[in-house]
Amino acid sequence: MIFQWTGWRHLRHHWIRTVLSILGIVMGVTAFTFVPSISRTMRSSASITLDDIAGRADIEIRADQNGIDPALVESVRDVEGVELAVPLSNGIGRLAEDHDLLVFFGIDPAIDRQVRTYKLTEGDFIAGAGEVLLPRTLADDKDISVGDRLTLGGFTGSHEAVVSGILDDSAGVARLNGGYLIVMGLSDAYQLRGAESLDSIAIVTGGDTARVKDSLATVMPDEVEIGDPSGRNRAAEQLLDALDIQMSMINLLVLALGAMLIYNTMSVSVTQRRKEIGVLRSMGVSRRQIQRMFVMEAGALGAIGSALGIVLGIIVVYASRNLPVLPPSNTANLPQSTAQLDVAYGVLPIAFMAGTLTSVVAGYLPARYASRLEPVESMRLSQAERDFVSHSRQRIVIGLVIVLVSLVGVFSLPRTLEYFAINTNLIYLMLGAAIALFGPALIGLGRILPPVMNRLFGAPGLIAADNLTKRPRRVVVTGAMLMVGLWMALLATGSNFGYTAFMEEWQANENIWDLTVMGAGTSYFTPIVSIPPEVIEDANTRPEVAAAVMERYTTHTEGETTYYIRAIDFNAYLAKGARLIWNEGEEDYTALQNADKPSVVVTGMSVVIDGITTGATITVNTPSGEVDFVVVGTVYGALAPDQLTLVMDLGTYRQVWHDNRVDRLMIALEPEASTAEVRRDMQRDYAVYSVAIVDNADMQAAFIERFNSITSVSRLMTALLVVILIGGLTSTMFILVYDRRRDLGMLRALGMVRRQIVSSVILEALLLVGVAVLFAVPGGIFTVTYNSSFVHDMIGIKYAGVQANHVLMTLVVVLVVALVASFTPARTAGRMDVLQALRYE
Amino acid sequence: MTVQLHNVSHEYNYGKVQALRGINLDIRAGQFVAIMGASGSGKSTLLHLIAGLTQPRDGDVIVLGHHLGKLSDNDLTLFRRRNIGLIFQAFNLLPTMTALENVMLPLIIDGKSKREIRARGEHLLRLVQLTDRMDHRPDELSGGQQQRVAIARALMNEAPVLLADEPTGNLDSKSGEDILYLLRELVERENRTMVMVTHDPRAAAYADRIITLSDGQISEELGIVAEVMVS
Repeated sequence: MIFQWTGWRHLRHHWIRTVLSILGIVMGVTAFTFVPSISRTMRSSASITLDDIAGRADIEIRADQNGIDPALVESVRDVEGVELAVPLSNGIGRLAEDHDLLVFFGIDPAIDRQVRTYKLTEGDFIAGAGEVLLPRTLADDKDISVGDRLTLGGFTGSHEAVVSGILDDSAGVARLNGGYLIVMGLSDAYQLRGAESLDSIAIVTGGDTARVKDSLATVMPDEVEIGDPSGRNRAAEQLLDALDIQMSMINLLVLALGAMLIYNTMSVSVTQRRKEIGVLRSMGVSRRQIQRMFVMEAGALGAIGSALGIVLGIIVVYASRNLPVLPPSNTANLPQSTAQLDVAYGVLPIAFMAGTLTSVVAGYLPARYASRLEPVESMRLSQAERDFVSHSRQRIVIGLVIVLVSLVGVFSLPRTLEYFAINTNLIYLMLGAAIALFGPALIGLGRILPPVMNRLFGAPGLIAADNLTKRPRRVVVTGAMLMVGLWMALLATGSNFGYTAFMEEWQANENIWDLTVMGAGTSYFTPIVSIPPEVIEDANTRPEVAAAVMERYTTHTEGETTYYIRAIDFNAYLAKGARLIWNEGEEDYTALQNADKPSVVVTGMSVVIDGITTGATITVNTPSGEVDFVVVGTVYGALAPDQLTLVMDLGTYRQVWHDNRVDRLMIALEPEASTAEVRRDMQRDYAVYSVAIVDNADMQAAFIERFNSITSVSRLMTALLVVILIGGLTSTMFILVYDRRRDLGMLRALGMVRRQIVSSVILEALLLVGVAVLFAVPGGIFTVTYNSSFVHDMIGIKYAGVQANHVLMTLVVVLVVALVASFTPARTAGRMDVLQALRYE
Repeated sequence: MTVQLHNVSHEYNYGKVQALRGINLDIRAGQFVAIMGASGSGKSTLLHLIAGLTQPRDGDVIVLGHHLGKLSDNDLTLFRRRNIGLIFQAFNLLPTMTALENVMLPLIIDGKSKREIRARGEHLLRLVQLTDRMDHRPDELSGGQQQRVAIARALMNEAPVLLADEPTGNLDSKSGEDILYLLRELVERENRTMVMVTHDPRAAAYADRIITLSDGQISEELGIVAEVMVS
């Protein structure tokens, strides 16, 4: 009843402040609804990819770098318990005179439909060689119909085929690679791929899977992997878990920002209604009733905001449905299906409860404070401020202890995957400590800031600094919100720039070649067949070629362990100015080139997980016997993020493995040569061989494609944070301006011109941002450096570190945010009618 | 004349409330004028018009020779800053500033540094007998002390015209009398022009001249304090 009488009336009377507070929760709950939807969609994408590729198979034989010999399919079929063995050979290529990269999906048309899903919408299923199926998307985009004759360009030149049918790409194989895929018979796929090899064999068993696996192991070579189809997603799942932790934290922080706004509103409300509380208390209203009144108010704001936030969250999800939300890793080099972004409906009740409960919790402290007020205290308006100041010493102690404990934890715990969540949480604990220290910092600045600001900006500066440092209770929540937002913005932009910087570094140091000739394979990074010696010889004798650097790409399996191997002719590689992107250890190629003392540099997630460092020895059972490879450093740029990649000199490799094959030729052309012409000539001359010739831009495009799914999510989070920062700061500045309306009216009456009032409000916002920056920049840099480098290490790419221009750019964005957010409240303050402002209660 | 009002009318709520009707009033320099009247009679509106806080619908308000209606918002604010001292019923001190800082505020707004005006601020606080409360914030002062700070603030810019809106409205009778005595003394000693709005006849008794408003018009004007006291 009391709430209905006074609280509701108060909320209605101060409707602008009420609306702005609700907006805070709306934003928080919107993020709470949206972010899990992204996460769920990523997992869905990984899961449907599995369904689309492995179908109803219960065992999958997966090839290593060298593929599976098709002859082995018959041996698999002979194994007891195997009901079906369905081969798959895929590759990449293009339609003639078209630039879009397509996946060629080679199957056995007679049996594939018993395992994988195909929905024909038009025409017939392929009957044999020379026929292909196209998903509806690709057919529509390229204006292709059933019966059309296509020229397909693979690794080994062109190949003709007729379209026998069109597939519905809402499910099944046709959904892979966004519908940019061509299904064909195995013989066509072999021709386009340039090699008779398979990527996998999907197996349906009668039931005893474990026994069948054991039997299969006896007939299959050691290099192949025999496992459950879900094994494909292992690395992706691990990374998704890590990403989930980060997203959940961001989620909670966004909600915390909303809670801060509610706290701010309730605190201002309590301050304003002290007299009312005093009157109610003197009339016999109990402390509990007063407390309940404010908690109910906060709860009502939270419930309204949560309901609206859920609606907005659903709208945002639907508006973003076409975002390519892919899992962050595609280790199998196979096409992926993209699940459509969909609302995680299960999270909606949680989002509602979280929004409402957060508001109740945020309203509890001001409510408790209100209930403890003595009636006589209502005249002493700044008691709350004094209480706040007197508790600042406690806050400093608590804050510093938390920072210290967190730092000790972060630096003493191992940097391994198991401890990643703990380490991340310790860093967020530090963020909590920074929030606790924010108020005392403002109080501490109370002696310095006002005179300095007065000297610099006159009365507006003095008033802005005074308000900020002497009424810290009113701005500390806003400041903390800004600090958290800025901290997170730095983290998000740091990650984005980290990826971009790595790509730039890779482009500048590794991808310096005009052309790359490679053995046919499933992607530009995974050649399956080697380059014939006559191609190598021809390339080296062409007058336009200045250098052709040889590289061997292969794998080596020992029991459970698979090593990826890159063996590079470092003499030629370094002579043309290329270099690896070094992480740890001295950048010394001499040691690598010393064949008498085999050395390697390593890369991949295993480097972090297994703690391999410079100086370690890796023993490998080679054709020359057991060889101890000394690790002389670690580099970035793993071939398969979840595996260990050994990078060594080609000479060492050849000496140890007795293998002279070459899989990649990195070609630098003479300055006057035309890349396009040389490429065209090579494509013509090498058409009979299973090789692909790609230029620098193609390599870069393929590389960028690998990171797009990661950066798109992180860019989205950055955009969300900027919106929240603008929204949060605007609403807070509005609340501060409306709350100080009487003071502003008095200042106008005393002769402060509109411009001075406007300046004062803007300066206050800038100062608040400035203090937040003091905390957020060191904290953000630490978090970015530690957290992101950890994640980046795990997926085997280099994190570029925090760079001054990135921080500067973030600060400029924040400065613009502060100016944009404070401009309208400042203008409102400047235009305020003096008499109305003076009457404001 | 320090203050001249020619045929001034003012209204609120788009003409629904007629606050002032055809007011004509001249106030000489050094005069202490009390404006009395019942609630809603228009006395505060009259004060706000003289302060330039609002503009009349009709008529002219001339203060110290300036037609306030002809000044831009900026010029009007600057005029107020340098020529008008305002004292509010609710004191309206800035809660974050000390008594001394509140007193110095009008000149800080005018761009003066704290150092050069500090002595004058301290002098004024001594004048209002708050020497020992200079570094106290408003919430640490009683109502009477806060109003003294507000008076000292009104004197800071050496404004020739002081305007007070119910300066004793929030004070007990003893504090109220002290404040009125102080105001009277200031007018006499520093030759300021003082316009004070009050509904209290005892407060008005400190003025040289009492103007009574009724329904937005001057209904009565008395020039001798004693007569009011007698009546």
